[in-house]
Amino acid sequence: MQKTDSLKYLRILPIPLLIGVWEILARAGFLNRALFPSPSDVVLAFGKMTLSGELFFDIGATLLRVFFGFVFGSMLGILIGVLTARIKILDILFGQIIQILRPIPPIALVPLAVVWLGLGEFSKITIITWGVFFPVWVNTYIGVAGVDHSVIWAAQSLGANRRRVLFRVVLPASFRHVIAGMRVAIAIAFICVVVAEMLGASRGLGFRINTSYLVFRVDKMMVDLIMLGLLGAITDWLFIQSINKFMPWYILNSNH
Amino acid sequence: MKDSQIKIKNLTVSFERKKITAVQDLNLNVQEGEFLTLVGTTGCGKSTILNTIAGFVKPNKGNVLINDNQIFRPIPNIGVVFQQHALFPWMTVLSNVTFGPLSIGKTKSDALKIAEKLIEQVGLKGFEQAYPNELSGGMQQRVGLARTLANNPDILLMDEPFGSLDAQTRSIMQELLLAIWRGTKKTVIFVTHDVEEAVFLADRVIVLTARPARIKKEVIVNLPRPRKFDMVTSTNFMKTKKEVLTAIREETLLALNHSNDHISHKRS
Ligand SMILES: Nc1ncnc2c1ncn2[C@@H]1O[C@H](COP(=O)(O)OP(=O)(O)O)[C@@H](O)[C@H]1O
Ligand SMILES: [Mg+2]
Repeated sequence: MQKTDSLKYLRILPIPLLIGVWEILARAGFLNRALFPSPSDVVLAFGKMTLSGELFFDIGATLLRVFFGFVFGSMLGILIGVLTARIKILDILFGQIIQILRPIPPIALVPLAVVWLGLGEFSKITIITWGVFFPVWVNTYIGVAGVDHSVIWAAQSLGANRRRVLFRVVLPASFRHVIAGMRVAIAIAFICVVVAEMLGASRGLGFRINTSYLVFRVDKMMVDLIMLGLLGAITDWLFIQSINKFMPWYILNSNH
Repeated sequence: MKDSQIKIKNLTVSFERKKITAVQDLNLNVQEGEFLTLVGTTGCGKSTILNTIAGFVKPNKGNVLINDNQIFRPIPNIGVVFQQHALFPWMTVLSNVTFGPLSIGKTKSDALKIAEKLIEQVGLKGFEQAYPNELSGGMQQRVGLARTLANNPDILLMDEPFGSLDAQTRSIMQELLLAIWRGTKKTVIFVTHDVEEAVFLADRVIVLTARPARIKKEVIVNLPRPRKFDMVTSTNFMKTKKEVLTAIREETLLALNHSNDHISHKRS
């Protein structure tokens, strides 16, 4: 016990150490503070950005885009995943196209989205939707196609119609896969939003990082980067927590 | 003599993907209320026969008639109990058992009444809110049985339902099944590779040939009902069991020789 406890401390030790050394080096003049702002500079920038409301608006804008892109992409991914896994004709018709489109990095599509859809919210949400769609589709497909046929047979012979088989049996049976796909999609959604914002936006963390770069404000960049890291981690954590809460409810109500 | 309830005519089922003929020209009639067991070596086509009667698998030739109606798809009047219980792990025991009645349009309160009665009958009162994964293998099969009985089907198809249970639990489940059968007079087709189980349960044992499955031998079991677990030591039981065993052994040896031929063929 004691040994693992002290090991746990060892694991977080480098963080204050690094911050401390950095602070000292920056203050002692060994580092160019414009290029390498000291941790206290970053905290200061954080304070200013919070007070001016800038940080709040940027986070809000980014999160909204991620939210809509994630919801649309997930819904599409689940819908088309179920359809292609359950209906052979659709699989043959669309499976190949989706497989060809899948390896294109969504980020590479940002310029095209700007040309076709402009610089507004629509093009950004489309990019995120696109990025979210593929992992959700692939995992839903795998989950639905892999459902043990004996549970489907059981439901059919108990008199369940197609809809009931789908919603009460096939979907719950592939739930785990769908969730796994959605978790991957969260990370992709954040990558997409930042790139989309960098190429053209008037607010958002990606936009702010880019403008900070243009005016050489590395301290502000640092704040936005840390925010992105935190948002990604918190979103994932919230997603898992809500699934854990959602599951028993889901299970208990699945028949009523 | 009464017309048979289940008529299997010239049934042939093959799987294209593996170029395998699992069942070939099978003819079999089953009377209403009869308890029939099917035995045969592993992979001979027992499950395929059951799955075809249940309407899960389409025959390539021939057909299955239930009360003179051809089976094209699963119907609630034919209940199936699966080897790996095939319960819905995301539903409680109660929801698993009410699934059938709710699927065929029973009201919620009717479904609950049916389910509670059956759960008690299979000895699982108090486990209504448990999830399948929280139960032992024997209890899972009890839920599976209750779930199937909830639609009150006239025909029960059971595919090695007790195959994965220990001997003790299995013997208790056999008696439970016979008690339910005695009370309801359903027609049962029960698949097993356990000869003792086959003889103990059945009015009639069908021994199948190695793949493709055909009828090798038919053995009528003349043991009194209700069956008691200690009957397995009676001379009558022993004699019947031996008859079935001999037939199966012949088939197993034939199958083995066949695959040996195959191997030496490939080698040469
Ligand atoms: N869906 C399927 N696709 C291809 N081959 C199958 C399928 N189901 C069963 N088989 C094959 O058919 C044969 C009979 O299988 P089965 O009826 O399950 O045998 P048993 O239940 O007697 O062990 C086996 O060789 C098996 O591999
Ligand atoms: Mg089998």
